[in-house]
Amino acid sequence: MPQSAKRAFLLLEDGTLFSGYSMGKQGTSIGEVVFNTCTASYTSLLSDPTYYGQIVAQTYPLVGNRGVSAESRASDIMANGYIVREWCDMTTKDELSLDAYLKQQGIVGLCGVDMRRLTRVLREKGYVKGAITDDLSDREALLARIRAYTISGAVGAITTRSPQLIPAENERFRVCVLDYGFPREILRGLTAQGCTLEILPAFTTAEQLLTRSADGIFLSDGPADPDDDPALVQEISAMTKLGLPIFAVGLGHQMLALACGMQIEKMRKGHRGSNQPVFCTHTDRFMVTEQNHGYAVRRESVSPQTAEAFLYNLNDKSVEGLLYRTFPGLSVQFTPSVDPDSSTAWVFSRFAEMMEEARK
Amino acid sequence: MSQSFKKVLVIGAGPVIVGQSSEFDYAGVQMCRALKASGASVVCVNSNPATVMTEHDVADTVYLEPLSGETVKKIIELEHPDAILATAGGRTGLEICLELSQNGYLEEHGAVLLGAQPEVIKSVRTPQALQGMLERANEPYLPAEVVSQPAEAAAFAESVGYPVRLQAAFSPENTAGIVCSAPSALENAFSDCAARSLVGQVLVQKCVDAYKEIELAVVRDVDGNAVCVCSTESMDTVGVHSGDSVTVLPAQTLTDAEMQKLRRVARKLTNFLQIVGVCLVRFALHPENGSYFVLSVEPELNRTTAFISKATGYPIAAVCAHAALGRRLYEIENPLTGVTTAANEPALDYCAVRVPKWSFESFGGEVDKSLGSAMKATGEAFAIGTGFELALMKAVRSTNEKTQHMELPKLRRLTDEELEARLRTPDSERLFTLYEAVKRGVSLQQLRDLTGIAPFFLSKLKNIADAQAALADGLTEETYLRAKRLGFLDSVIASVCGEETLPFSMRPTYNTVDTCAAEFDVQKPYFYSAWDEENEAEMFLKAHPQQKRKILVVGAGPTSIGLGTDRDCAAYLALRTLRDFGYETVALNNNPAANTTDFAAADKLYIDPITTEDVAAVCATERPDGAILAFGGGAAVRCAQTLREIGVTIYGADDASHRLLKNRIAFFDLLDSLNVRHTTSRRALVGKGAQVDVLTDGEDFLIPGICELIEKADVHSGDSVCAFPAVTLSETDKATIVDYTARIVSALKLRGLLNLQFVLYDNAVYVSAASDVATRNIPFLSKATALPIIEFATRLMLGESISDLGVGSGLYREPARSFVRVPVFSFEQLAGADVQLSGEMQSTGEVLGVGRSFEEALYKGFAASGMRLKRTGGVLVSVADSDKPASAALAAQFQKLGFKVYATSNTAKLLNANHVAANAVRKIHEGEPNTLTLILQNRLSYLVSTAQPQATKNSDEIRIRRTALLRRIPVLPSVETAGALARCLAENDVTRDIHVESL
Repeated sequence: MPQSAKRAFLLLEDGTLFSGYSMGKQGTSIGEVVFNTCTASYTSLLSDPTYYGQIVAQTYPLVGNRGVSAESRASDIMANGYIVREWCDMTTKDELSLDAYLKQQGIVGLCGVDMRRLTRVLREKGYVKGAITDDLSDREALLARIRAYTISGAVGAITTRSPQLIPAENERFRVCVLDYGFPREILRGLTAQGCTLEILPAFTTAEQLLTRSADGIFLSDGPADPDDDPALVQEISAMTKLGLPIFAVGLGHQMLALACGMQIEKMRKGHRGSNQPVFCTHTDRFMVTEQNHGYAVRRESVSPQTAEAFLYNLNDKSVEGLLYRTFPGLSVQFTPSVDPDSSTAWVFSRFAEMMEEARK
Repeated sequence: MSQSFKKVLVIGAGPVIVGQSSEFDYAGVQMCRALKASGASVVCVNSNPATVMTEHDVADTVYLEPLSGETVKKIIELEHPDAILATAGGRTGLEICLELSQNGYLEEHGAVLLGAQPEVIKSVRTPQALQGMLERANEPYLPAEVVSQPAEAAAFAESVGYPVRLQAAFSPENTAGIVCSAPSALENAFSDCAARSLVGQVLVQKCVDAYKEIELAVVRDVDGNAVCVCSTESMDTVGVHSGDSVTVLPAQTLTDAEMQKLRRVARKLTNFLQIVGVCLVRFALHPENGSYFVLSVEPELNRTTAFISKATGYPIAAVCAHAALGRRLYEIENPLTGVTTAANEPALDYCAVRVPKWSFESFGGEVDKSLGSAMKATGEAFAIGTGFELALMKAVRSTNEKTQHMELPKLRRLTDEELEARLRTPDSERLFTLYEAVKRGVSLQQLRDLTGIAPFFLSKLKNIADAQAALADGLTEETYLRAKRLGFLDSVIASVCGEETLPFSMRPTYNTVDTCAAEFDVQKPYFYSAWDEENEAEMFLKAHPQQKRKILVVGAGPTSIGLGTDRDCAAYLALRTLRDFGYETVALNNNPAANTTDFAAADKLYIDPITTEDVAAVCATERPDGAILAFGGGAAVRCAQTLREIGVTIYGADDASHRLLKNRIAFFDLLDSLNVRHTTSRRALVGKGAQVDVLTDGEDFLIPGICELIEKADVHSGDSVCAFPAVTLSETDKATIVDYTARIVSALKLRGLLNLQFVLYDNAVYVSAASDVATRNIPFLSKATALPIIEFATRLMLGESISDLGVGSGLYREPARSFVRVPVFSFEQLAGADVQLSGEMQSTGEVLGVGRSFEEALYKGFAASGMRLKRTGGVLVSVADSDKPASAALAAQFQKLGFKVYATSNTAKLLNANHVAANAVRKIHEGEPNTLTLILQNRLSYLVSTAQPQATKNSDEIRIRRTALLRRIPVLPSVETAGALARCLAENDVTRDIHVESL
């Protein structure tokens, strides 16, 4: 932590104050404050667009041990702020420091806070909004701004503007990807299955999909509340009637469930980390998964006629995956790993099988 | 749907040696508890009495027997267990597994092997087997080849790329090998190594000394569910053994991609081997390009898994035991959180640092302190911090009692060139040398070039040095706070600033080790100090008010030769006693291998250094009613005064009695006033030795037993073979010992334990030493007498009287069986250390032999200590002048048993004159064939070699003893031990068929 750093604060909507030091861009930034317990580097954490509108607090204590290498600088940060306990300023000559990276991306950061205290507060309060600021001169005004803050139009803000094509090396399938704003890494899992991908804006309609001669549809992860845009859910509902296999992840999973008549609830405490154990009732085995979400499908709303909740979280028993009965569909709440050896990689081949089946 | 077993045999790891401390005992205890919780009855076998797993409430039946296939089979035939678990038995346990699995023995006896399976053990136990396995798994292994020609070596080096390491392929000497970075150096290195090989062959291996060393622990259940518990990273590169390097958890300098890759490989190998339990995979990772080699795969619990368990709160050993019984990871609750299971990979919001502790000071000046591929540390301490600096500083002062900081004053005197040279060759003062260099302003780039250490670690050292420099420039609240947050003690700050007292004072807060980065509210109070805003220990106190009286037990810190695992056993048993008697217990310790740092050992656990400031800080938050320091060694006892000042009652031995007993002059004055005969500093009496461990309430006393020391009394009692009941002491001697004890006890007014040493000389008894923090002999005596000595001591400390114990007073009755304690040394591991006993203790561990006679007990003790006891062959007698008279009778004994006796010229003459047909052999410098040739040609079964008192060390003698040791030929360091062994060998029925019996 730089000794000369300027004091800065995190002010929560209920007035709780945390003090630390400014990092990255100076100034004030408001967002929903969430913590993540993963040990992954900040570059992969911050480049996750599902943090849109949120201030991310990473519980892992030493952040910045590695600088930002050229290739991981590509995507823009969607989060509104970043909080760490210790910013460890270590960079080699080809790397950009965390501080410089945040400045370059225009992100307000905070370091040197008692992260356990913050985590406890977030754990107990659930959904909390707050602001990182270096100016507390008018606290009441800032609190009012924090309380007024809502995340809206997230998907619209970050979805792709125009279709993009990612051809597979050995094309077996053509898959339409509905982009709600998601980390692109996951697409490697699909291309590895021989899927040529067409990434489409979130607002693409079911009718438009028909013209694409696709073998399947992938509903991506994305930021914010699945209830945010009923139009999106309506379109998904129409897509389920196309007879095409649908594979959905994260926000896509939630919206697909909504489209099929299930309900979504805001979790008291979201799943944000890389160690969430998810149990599969088909295999009687569990997988260690990476997750980042604050909403979940209400277990009671899953009707056996519509879908089978075959995956659930071992810690809180929340729904983690659905197999649909009325159409070939598979959706998971976690982020499956694209590593073929990982315990979650089966979702991609399962989707491929579904598309294979659908051809017959 | 787990399997249920009625009776499980758990195999322990045996004595403590360098590289193997109490981690196996800790793992064994966890496993025994898990097995008992599953409803199984537990039979435990170990040769090491200083273990908690051999305590009666941990196992149902205990065997203290030599750890060999032969004895374990006998136990199986007596106990008929339906399962056997050796995952906590170290290498010894795994080898026994292999033996049991042969020829259908287990099937025949209706038992199954749980945990590590024979096929798995076989596929990783040798470098060749490992190579084959990795080849099949398609993972990179370290290429190696044995060659006979320089050209072959060169061809191999070309194929794998330089640098390569050359080593003599079969050599009696323990050599580090020669690293060649270019072809030009190869030829000389080859001839060097070939010359040292007995067969002229050289092992050439790809050298990855400059790679990062990373370890990953994976736990897998019978369904194939697996979690990667955590990673560790060595500060030093692969060239230094990971046990000798500062280690950080989790790994710090890897990119995401590198970490993911290694995790993937570790899981893949665990799956490939179908391991049910733990698998520890060690990697060499290229510092720049991310390529890697798998260095080892271990399907067992060990030092690293103990460290990971303690530092993450994920109890690997207990999980392994449950998994071995067929339970799935998600069915195994993590008792720390109470809400998560073994399926939750720990999420950390801190880092833990482990610092090794060496005991070189016990071995004199000639021992080689350089660090390389063989581990030399005897113990370790760890610390947890919200930052690396804080954790490192705490761990350093836990291992370095003297300066309690990363500085060694003597290093300031080195010139820059000398310092640079020290940095090039790692030694046990590496961290201090590095810090000195950082303070002198050597650039981090230059340090990296000299040491290969990653910039991350160096920059952390620089942060510490910068904070120190800022303090030296001026003590302000800002510089003080900055230093405190990085882990400086007030005493260190004061000395850096040259101040007597500090104008500032700050106490740390405490954070919880919860495996989940505060994601869940955990149930178990397990704390470490930090400098945060909220004190979680304080919050816990408020949320959980207790009516019970609360006692803090301070542990012993890292294991060293003077401070063995017996202390940890004692502290553990004291905690158990306190709990049984209705107290709330708090443990403070920092040894990751210890039983007292298991969160199940006490109601509350603190991982922190044992210094007055740290202990006082814990007390300031925890506010215990009292503290027991006597089981923690000197560092703990020295906290007494400070604790008393803040209102903590000290139970048992404290600094005042400690000082009196350590001050020989004052103690001898006291003895004079009591009319007790004693040795003097001027006149060291060399005779038979005896010792008693006395339980006392200040007036009355109980002597559980009088032990006789087989070595002469000038050998440290901890290094002597010790017999109970005594073999040659007369009733009069014993009565005098009891009488002297009574007088000393009533004068000292101590509560708890007191150890008294005696010399028997010229028909009289002399007191030679006394100690109040002595526990070394207690585990042995406790097991031999079946008296819970530590429990008694604890109760006495808290105010009970001898009569409350209900077993009488005075000298307790002697048992029917014979017990022998045999010390175990680690000379094989320590190049340059001489196999000679002196007043300084050198043994690292001990074993217990039990038998129907003294001879039988002794034989079993020798066997358990690892000696290969042959009944034929040669005996070389090489003794100090003072031992020459006794050597004739000894040689005659061996000759009568059919051994061929060898001696160097003078001794041979003497033996011949005494009618022993000794064969004269040349000394090494007299030309070949000589004494060394005898050993190399496998003609020796025993070497009797005793030291010349105060004589200059004879390099020939040292070389002979080392060579014998490396060839596993028993070296008998005294005529008395050799004589006792000869008597054992004379008892045919003792040696032919080992008799096994539970305690």
